[in-house]
Amino acid sequence: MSDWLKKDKASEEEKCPDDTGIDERDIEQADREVVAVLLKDADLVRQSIQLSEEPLLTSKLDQALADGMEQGRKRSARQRGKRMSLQLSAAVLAMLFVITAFVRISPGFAAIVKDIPGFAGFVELVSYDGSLQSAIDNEYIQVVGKSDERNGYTFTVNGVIADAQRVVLLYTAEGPGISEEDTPSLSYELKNENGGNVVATIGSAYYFREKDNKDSVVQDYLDIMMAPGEPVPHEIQFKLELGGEWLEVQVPIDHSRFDEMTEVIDLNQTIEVEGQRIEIKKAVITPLQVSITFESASGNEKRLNDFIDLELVDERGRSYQTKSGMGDLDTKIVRHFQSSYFQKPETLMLKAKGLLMSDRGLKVVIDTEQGKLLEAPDGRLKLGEARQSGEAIDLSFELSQADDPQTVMREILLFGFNGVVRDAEGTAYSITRGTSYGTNGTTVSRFGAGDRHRVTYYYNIPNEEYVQPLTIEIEQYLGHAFKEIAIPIK
Amino acid sequence: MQENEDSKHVQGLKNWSQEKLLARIQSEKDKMYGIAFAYLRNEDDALEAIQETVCRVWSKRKSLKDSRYFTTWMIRILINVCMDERKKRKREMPSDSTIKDVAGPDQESIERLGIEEQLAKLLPHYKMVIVLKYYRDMTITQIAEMMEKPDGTIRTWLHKALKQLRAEIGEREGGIRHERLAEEG
Repeated sequence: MSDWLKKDKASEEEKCPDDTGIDERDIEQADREVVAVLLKDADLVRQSIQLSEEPLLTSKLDQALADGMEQGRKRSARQRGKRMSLQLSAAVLAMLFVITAFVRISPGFAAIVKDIPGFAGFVELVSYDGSLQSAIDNEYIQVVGKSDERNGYTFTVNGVIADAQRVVLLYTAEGPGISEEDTPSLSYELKNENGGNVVATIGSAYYFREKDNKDSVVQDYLDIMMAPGEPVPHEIQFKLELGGEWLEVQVPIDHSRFDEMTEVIDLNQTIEVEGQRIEIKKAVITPLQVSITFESASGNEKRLNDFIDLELVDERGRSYQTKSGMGDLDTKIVRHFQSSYFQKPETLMLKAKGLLMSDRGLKVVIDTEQGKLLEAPDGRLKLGEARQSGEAIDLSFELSQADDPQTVMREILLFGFNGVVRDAEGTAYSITRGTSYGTNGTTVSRFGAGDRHRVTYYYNIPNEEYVQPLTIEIEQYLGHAFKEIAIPIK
Repeated sequence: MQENEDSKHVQGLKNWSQEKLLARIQSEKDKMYGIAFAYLRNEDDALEAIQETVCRVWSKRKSLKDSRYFTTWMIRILINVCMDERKKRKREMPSDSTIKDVAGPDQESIERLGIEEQLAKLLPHYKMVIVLKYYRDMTITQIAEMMEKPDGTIRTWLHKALKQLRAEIGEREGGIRHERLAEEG
């Protein structure tokens, strides 16, 4: 062993640095046989590439390039969209995102925005959200039109769409270097009229944004869904960072526009699926949102993760979808549905096809030195990799979600928000949801072309002197029970 | 003006349109397929790796500061995707579909399957060095650049990989002979 290493050193010195092709001197005499086999095999591989270098492969290759591009666009959009700021007091947040792939611009909205300068850009943005669109169709909007200007940058709040649960700030940013392409997310700060934080889930439309437009204007909105029990401010101090400066606009919110528009329905009904009980407490209907509060019984044997195909359906069969919520179904969650307010339905039925739930007390045991998975709930969960990268160890887990009843691929909360990894001596370290591909995003679900139901979860653990193996408790896992649920809301 | 010229030279991909990026990727697709196929040994996996690579190229495009290194950068991503891919499929046997394509004499197929299996047993970075060197005719210096390691490291990997193959092929050949004997008998 040391012998050939030495030899290699010697031969290295004789050689010119920019060696080309296969240098015989690289090869130990005894390796020649292996190299001969390799070269023969390489010829065969080359031949088989040539044999298949037919139009079909070319078109498959082109398809792979196009798909990769599309996937990349979605991935970056997804990462941006999830960069939401959460100003929550205590509640755990479960955001459920669904990619909306179509744009529907209603004629009513188009007609209204014609009359308001600067509003055209919001047409597409708002069209992804059924509640906002029907609000605007019904002229439910407060025009603000206030600006701040500094160093050639202009920040304008064009309008606000608000009700007792939700505030949507429509704004425009202009200035040198500002374009949709290069402005992934502008830093902002929100305060209420008392200078306090706005306690809410705040999202922006970036998630849906096409990134090709290179104008020096960005139009976006902040979607502020107030935390349960938090009142909507009467004025929001909205600060936006442009060109290194903070620009500021005071946005008045006229409560008289929605004071009389809130309908609260107490329900107190119980749903039972395979012995697991959930109480539906109440529904709150406002112009921009229907919120339904669910509380799970504390003695439930299973961990309740979500409903299957949860929706509200009215007497005409119109469906009102839910894409977000606050809380955790296993304890208490408020789910936000697209508002039925302007549709004024006679009846409203809460429907679901069952529950997603998993066993409690599941865990994975891994050896990060050997990159091995020692224990998992079942064969569907695999360790992708355990790679040391500086201060952290990057972990990826692959989960085959083919059995999932949802049509839309979901991302489960594999490890809890405050999850820990414990080494063999019981020392606990916190885990974080991973950075991947070098970006500071969150978990990226990877949809492989070969197996579309395989999702990869990325996590980081600190790069410590662990005593192997390591144990991580699983928060949510796969599993479900079907049961047709239909509860009349009104 | 001079400054402008200079800064033009070290431009990243920031200002590239999607079309330009795609065209640039297009021009390297044969090279990518060559590496991916030689490493992964089947068409589906090679195509999947390329798709994933393009996806990462798109989402990471802003991190490349100098567009002159585009090809190296992209191939580097591809190499990492391929090495990750293989880890996932560790337990899977090499597919025999490619062998049918080149249906040569029996012995050749057996040998081929043999070396393919042995390659699969190598650590991903060892296998990658072997593939780039003997299957894609790259130089040590080129491989070192692609894998972001010093030349010496690549050389060491290459020797270790060859040594491991030598040992395993020796074993394997004993196995094949034995099998043949059993068939004849």
